[in-house]
Amino acid sequence: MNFLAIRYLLSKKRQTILTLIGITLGTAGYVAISGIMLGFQTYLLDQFINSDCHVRIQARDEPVDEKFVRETLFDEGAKINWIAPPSGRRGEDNIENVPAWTERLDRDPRVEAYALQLNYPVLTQFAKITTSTQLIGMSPEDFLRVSKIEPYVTHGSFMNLSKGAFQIMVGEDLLTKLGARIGDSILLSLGQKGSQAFKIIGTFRFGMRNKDEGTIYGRLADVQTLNHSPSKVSSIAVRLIDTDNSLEFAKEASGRSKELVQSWEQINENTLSVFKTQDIVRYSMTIAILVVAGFGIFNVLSMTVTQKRKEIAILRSIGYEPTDITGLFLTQGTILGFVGGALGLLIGYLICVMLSHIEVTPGRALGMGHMLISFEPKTYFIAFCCAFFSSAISSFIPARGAGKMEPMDIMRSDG
Amino acid sequence: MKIEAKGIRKSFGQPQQEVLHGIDFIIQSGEFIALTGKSGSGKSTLLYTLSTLDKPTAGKVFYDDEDTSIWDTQKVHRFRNQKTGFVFQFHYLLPELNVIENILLPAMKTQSQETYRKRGMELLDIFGIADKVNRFPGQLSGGEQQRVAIARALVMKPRVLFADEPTGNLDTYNGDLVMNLLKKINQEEKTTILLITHDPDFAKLAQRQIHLVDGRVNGTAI
Repeated sequence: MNFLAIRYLLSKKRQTILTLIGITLGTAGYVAISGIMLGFQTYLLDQFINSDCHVRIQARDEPVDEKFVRETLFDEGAKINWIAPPSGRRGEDNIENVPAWTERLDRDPRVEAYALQLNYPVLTQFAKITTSTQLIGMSPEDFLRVSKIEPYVTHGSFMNLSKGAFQIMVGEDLLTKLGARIGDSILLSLGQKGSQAFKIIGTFRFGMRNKDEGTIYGRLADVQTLNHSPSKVSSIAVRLIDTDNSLEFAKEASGRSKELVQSWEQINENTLSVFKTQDIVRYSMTIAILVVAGFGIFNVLSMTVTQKRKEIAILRSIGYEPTDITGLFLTQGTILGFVGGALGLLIGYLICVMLSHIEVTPGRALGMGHMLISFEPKTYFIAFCCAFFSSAISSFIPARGAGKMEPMDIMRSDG
Repeated sequence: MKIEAKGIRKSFGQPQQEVLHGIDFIIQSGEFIALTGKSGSGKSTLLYTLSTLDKPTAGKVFYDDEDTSIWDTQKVHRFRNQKTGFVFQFHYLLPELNVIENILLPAMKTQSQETYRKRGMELLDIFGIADKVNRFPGQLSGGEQQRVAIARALVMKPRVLFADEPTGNLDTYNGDLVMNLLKKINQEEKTTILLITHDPDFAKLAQRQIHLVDGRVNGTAI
């Protein structure tokens, strides 16, 4: 009956083409929108996972309040009258027992690498311009094993940091903001603790303004010296062998320690929830489009079935069975779904290819300043399945109706 | 193929109204029967009941002494496909298919269109429309369309042909042509033919007439 189904479709070219356009647009829309959104998400995820770390261990922000003082200093049930209730914060934000942590991380088979860091805000001064930035002290060898940061380096190399004292890598935007050049020395000051000149030996660009404008990387020892706190560590960046273990690892480690242990998912929770919203929007749009296309097929086939009543009767009288008749109309729907879906994938793919050539602010994203578009096969698979099955389902109802028609009922009602 | 009707009754509608009030007759294999009677006498209902397209409310139809009421649906469909042919007042050709495809439609059911292609061409030749084999129904005259419909009914070499006023929409010339073709098929292929007609002249071409009055057989004439 496939032959006849195709003839039916070809004989109603306009109707067939209009229905196909509906399915094709729905499918192409899904592919294109998914390409854009997933491309963006992949880019951000790559930054979360690779430009930083999988798990970060840092001192817990502990407020000193009434409850804290009561629990620490007094027996349970003690009656306390405050003149003024205590309020404050623990003075130190360093990790207390670093050797215990490193020993533990060395033992854990899930850990690929870790890097000790000391981070704190500094005032950056060059000529007459002053701006505040985050200074990150780390050992370059360890840090490069934890963060896959090399692709973002635009000049110089992190490894060179260990070749001399008081050298730094800075974000490109910071360089522009200060009006400095590579090779210049800038003054980093830490309030009363004094200041120190650092030489700029390289730059990086993540494509995120706050990072590119506000981050400086230096050697751990130098940063500790500036802070007058040798051996102080404020956080440990950990890279796991399998990224998917991050959350589990963080929860497990956090439960047993004084420090706050967070996975990249927890650190970037807000952004990830935006991804979820994006996904919901993406799926709802597609469902809406495909439902419209599905109704198109339903209408067209229902009309065809009504128009073809006499032909159904004749087919039944020459021995075609109800299943043949159902098949005849179901085939038309599935052909429309198949062809529309395939065309949609092609057009969606072409749109994605075109979009991926659109230039965005140079260096604002990976991919040599072009828009990042995802070409994930899963998207194409989902798009095709949606088109195909929504067509099949919406043609099933009229098709089954056609199969149920009895030839004599048709003849009698039509005279 | 011998057809036997035993006590056929058929009722329709709510409340039930009986259209056929117990019909008994035997049609011998190879007979050409004209079913006559006024409008509403139950001719068409009887024809479709005999052909298995419709089920009698009571009574039974036998083909070569086989009780059709116990056939399963598969057998009924196979029977319609292989053993019977239908011609209606209107041709009911599929406008999307050309002449030969329309004729081979019954054979397509069993994927045997190639086996019957030669037979289809022969029928077109006999019916004088061999040159129209690739035309579409819309490009044919009414008479030609009906001849294609008859070819479609005959392509599987059915043992019985049911014809419901096949000349009803045709002019005299084409009507005669169609009747002569039916007669020829009946004689040459020994196909049993059951024909409904209002035209007494055409009825006379049959070997025997079964005349219905108000759902009862009112005499047969030869």
